[in-house]
Amino acid sequence: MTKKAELKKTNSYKKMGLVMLCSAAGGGVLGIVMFVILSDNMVGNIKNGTALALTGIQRIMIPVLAVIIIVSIVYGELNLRKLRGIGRRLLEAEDEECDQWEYAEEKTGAYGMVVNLLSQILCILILSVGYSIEYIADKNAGNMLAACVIFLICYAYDGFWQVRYVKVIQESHPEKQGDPSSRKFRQQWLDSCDEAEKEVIYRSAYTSYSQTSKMIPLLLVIVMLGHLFFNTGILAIVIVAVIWLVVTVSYLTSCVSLKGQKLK
Amino acid sequence: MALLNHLKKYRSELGINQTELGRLAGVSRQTISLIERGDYSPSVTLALKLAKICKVTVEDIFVYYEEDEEHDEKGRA
Repeated sequence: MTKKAELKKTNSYKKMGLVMLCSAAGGGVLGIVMFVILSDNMVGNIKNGTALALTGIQRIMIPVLAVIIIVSIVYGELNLRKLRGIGRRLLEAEDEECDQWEYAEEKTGAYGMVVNLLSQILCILILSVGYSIEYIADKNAGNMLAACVIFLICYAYDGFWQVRYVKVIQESHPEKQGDPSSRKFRQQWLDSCDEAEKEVIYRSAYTSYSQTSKMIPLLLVIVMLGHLFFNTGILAIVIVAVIWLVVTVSYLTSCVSLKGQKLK
Repeated sequence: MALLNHLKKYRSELGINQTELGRLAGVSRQTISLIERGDYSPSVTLALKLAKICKVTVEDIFVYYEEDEEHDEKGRA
């Protein structure tokens, strides 16, 4: 080992140790500050405030869900219209011009997918506020049923939007294969990509894995603090821990299995 | 980047666009564009295919430069 490499390794241990020490000190200080600030009275107030906010959301659950579905449909339709227009220009464009339109297509599609996903997540969050036996038993069964119907419409629209999105992309890129309603769609799509496109997919997947690995420990700390101070229960901690385990194990399993295949 | 290429020049000599070259090589137009811009280094198989289509050797299309040589080459260009 060269002197430079050895020096680098020593610095890494030192840096890691310092980061761990700072994190522990920061956590300790935060814990003491929270313990001092969050008196029993304050914790009670925060709990009451949260309960009040949730009740408020329960009251406006139906109009909020309706607004989400309207926004989702309007944006989804405009997005697909724009994508079709880009697709038509793509088929007529040549070389460098094509690069610009393909970038525009990628960007527009990504915005559409994000809005589509956001509307699904918001619908789930809003619905889960009223998703309790306590709320339904309190003469709210009709409201809950109406909210469920709106939620299902939104969910169905978002699902069909994704199918239409794939079809629009396939119109301008006929080489892209895959039935979006099939469970093997992702594999079919990947198989129809060439080596450069696969590299983009693999690199994006690794970025996604790296971001998830950074985000999960932070989420774990948040749900643990939530349970410590507000008694939110251990379910959230268990779920985040399971997600962390699944993400890491599936990544490592895939690495080992791919290297194993190369040895055979 | 240590790999320069003259794919655009040879494609122009053939008188075909990126879509047609991509079709002949069995890859997408984007991949040809990425290679021409130097943003993607193709696999050996694809490099050989492209050389065969252009009726030249791989070394005619793809040129490996050490970093310093690359700067010199870019300076000359």
